[in-house]
Amino acid sequence: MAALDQISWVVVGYAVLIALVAAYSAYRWRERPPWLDSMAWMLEALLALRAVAGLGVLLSGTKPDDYATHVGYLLSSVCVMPLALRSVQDDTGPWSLGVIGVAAIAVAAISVRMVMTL
Amino acid sequence: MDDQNATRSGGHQVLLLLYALFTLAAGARSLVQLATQADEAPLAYVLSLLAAITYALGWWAIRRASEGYTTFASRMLWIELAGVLTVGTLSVVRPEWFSDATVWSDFGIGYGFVPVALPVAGLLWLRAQDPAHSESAVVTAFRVVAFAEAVSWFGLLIGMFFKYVVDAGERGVEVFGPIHGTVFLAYLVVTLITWRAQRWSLPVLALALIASIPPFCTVLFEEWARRTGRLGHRPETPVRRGEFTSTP
Repeated sequence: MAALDQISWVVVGYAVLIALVAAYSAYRWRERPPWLDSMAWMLEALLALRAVAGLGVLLSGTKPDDYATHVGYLLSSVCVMPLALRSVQDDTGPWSLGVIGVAAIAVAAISVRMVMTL
Repeated sequence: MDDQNATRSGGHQVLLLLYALFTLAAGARSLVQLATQADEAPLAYVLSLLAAITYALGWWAIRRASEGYTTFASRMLWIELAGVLTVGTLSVVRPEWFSDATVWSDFGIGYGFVPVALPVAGLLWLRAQDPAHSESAVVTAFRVVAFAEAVSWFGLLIGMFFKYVVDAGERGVEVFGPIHGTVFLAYLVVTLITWRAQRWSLPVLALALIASIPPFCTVLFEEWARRTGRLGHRPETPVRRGEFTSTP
């Protein structure tokens, strides 16, 4: 459980970092740098790790206070970033930075909620 | 439909993601609540489901508007705003009607007030799409936020009336306090952006900032600035929309 919380907080910190980088690049009205996509996929890998570990904990018999809500957060956490990246895959304009930034903030919020509901 | 138009770069991309996220969040939340504990607060859960449907329709409306068909969006966004304001106001003045929170309770306080900001942002984006409204987005944003600041002051004063005069509890202040704080900060940010875009002098900037302190003075300042030509058509930034630098 402690390890799960640690992964979740790492996810939150990394997602906030991505949101800040996206916000700064959007403020400078720049094209979306390719390495931001790499950072976003790294975040997705962390989220997948968190989801697999979380499912393992659930299958081992641990029951969160609100089971359905927790599973919902677990599943949605891995869907947001790929959907955001997919929606801007052919567009590297400044507005696409807003999409990545909003997705990162959403993932951070979901990760905090996952910690709260476990 | 012109798919190239639908996928072009613009503010609608961020709006579409937000509407998709809120459709997912409100939909999953309401369906789980209705499936597992519908007897506890049926009104609240049904309202959350209606919010989810509104967000799904809002997503579709924004997508259509990005393709040039703005009629549905112009209606849908006003319906959404009316829904947020109605449910938000009822949850404040009639909290006993809501045994549990809805997505729009207290104007979306559970989601960082994004539910009340989302239709406003959508309407601003929609207005920018209409060539008949040549007013710059910065000026429109300043007008909207100045008005919202005055409205939030009004709400806060009502809350203070019920707290200190009628002695009917702190509920109003608890709700309108953070709303006013959020709008106040937004007003400061938008004022600084407008100062740069409209090339105000420092005394005018100081006046605009001071106007945020007494109740309703932001509206008076906005009216004064409009009449004296300080809220008009001026170049906003040296970089046009759609242009950006590709190097750091």
